[in-house]
Amino acid sequence: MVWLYALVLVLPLYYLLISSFKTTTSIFDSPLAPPAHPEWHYFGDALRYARLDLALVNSVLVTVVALVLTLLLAVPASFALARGQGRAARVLERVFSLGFLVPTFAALVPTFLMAAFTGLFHTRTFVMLLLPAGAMPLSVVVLTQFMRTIPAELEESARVDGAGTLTVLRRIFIPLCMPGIATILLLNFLNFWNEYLYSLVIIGPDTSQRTIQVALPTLQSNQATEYGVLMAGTALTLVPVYIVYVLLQRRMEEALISGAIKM
Amino acid sequence: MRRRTLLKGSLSATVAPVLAGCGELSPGDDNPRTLVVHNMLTAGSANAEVYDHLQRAFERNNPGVRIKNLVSGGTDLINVYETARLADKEADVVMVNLAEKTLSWTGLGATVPVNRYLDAWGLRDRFLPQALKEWTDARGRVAGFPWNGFTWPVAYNTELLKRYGVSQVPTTTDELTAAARKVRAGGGKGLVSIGGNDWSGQKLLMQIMQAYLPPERAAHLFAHAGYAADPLALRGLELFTRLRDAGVFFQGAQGLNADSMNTDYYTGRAPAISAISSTLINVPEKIAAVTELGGWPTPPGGVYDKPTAFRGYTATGIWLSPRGLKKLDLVKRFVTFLYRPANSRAFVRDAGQVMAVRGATESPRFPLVSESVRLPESRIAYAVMPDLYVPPAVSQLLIRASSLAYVPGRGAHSIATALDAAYRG
Repeated sequence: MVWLYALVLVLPLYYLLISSFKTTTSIFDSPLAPPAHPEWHYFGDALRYARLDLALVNSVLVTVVALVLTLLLAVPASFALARGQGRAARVLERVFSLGFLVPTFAALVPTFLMAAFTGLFHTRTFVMLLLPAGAMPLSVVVLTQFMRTIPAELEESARVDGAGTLTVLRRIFIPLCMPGIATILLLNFLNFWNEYLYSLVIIGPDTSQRTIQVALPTLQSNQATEYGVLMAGTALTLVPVYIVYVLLQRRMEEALISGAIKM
Repeated sequence: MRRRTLLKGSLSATVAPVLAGCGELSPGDDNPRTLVVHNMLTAGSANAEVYDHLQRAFERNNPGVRIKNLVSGGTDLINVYETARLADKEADVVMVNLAEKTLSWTGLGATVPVNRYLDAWGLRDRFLPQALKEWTDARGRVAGFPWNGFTWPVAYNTELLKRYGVSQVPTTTDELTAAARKVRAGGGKGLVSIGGNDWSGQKLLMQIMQAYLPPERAAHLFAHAGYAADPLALRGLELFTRLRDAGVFFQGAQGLNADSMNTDYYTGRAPAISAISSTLINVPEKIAAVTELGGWPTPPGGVYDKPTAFRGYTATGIWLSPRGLKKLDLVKRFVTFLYRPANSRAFVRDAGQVMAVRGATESPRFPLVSESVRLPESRIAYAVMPDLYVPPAVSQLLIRASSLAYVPGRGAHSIATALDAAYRG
């Protein structure tokens, strides 16, 4: 059963990879057969035609800045909410949860108007600021729950030793919440990296600014797409996702183990 | 001290890349020497290569002038342009098709009619009269300069037909069903491969439905619906179901798309397909050598006495945006450069395009495209192309409704009702 499930997961990846070396005709003619005459140049073509190299840099820039901002905002906010005992903290936590109720499409028009109003339309800067705003509800809710599991005695003893609030956050809460931080980093990375609609509308199609998700569809035409090149381009966009997934998965495991020992 | 260092580190980690990123934003958008052109030329296509080559030539001929290209896919281009227009940041020139949402651009002021520039820039006589007609709306406004179009005949693999015992290309529906029977008896999946699940299937359905519809009535139906209440439309749809049930279309056509249809033809499995010129560009030499172009066979008593095909000049036009008006001299130089005979011929010769201008038809590298342009009206009649009439909001819904027609057992009335429902959203 496990093997069957693994096969179901691997099959699309297999299809994507082998199609990256096949002509359009052979992709449709024999979808699952390995390439008889591999077209190695499709990867280079995809990079060159759609300037995926520039798009990759833009995507990395947007994603990294948005992730840093998310952490800078979500960690202190969660810290405050987790330590807050009063009614205001509970209300504020629920306010953050309300963010889940806003559908992506519903926010598009007001977001566009805000971008135009602030003069940041057709800039990556606006999307760098927008993505953390969208990620805050999930990040704060997840991190708050993690921080609540930290015993109050740890903070009390640190305070006795003269630690200030920032030191408590940096030296106690952040190390012990690494599993939560790694989790939201991974989830938000996937969301930010794959974001398409806002990147398309707000950043726009300028080659010097567009993200990889906006650049990729330029390899597709309405009537005569070279699917091998498109597949190769798609495979290239997955490489950073795979690297980050592997890196963060390890960190998450390490953090879980170290957290368990400290606890 | 530590707190300050931490804050400084965090801020610089966040702000530095943002500022670095801002440094190169929108380079040259407002520069009067930079013309921003938004197009949908698929990266790496022959069409894009010819365009790139000409763009470089234009920049060489106009020192100090730069063309900045923005490339988006068809639907994306429309959305991006419209939002950019709302923010007053749209490109100066847009190269996109005239269909669906773009049909409303002139009326909404999203783009500027080009009537006055046709004469002022000496371009009017460059265009085929049919092309200019298609780009002119009911109020006489020319939405953009017609650039390229398409032909849409039926491609027949004569060698494969002969193998199934069909000696000549069918020209009537009786010959068509007889040929389909022979193909099926010979073990074939059908006579005509078609993407019943996408635009290719929708166009063929609309083409067959027009068998008994006068052109004006067909145009009215496409614009306003009423298929189920129109006896001539129903008669055309009944013809479609008869052809379908006689095995004319490939098995499972309702689940196929244009790409699978093309593959069927390119690999020599399909005896015939309804082939738009962009499909004809890619027909392998071996198959092209045995391909005969014709039209879709017509029934006795129909309004067309010859097999039908589509053709049009709305695939791409060169539109002028309100921002483009501020750089009119640059726009004029660029547009008139593209329409120079040698330059528009390059798109035909090297990219197999069907151009909306006079005297650009021959393409030795793409003989089927050239042949499709030359198909004589003594052999082919041209049916009404639905795209110019179907309302923008209906187009995609109509394509989905059309796929039902390829499902075995669906009757004409049921298909017509589904088509009408698409207009109600």
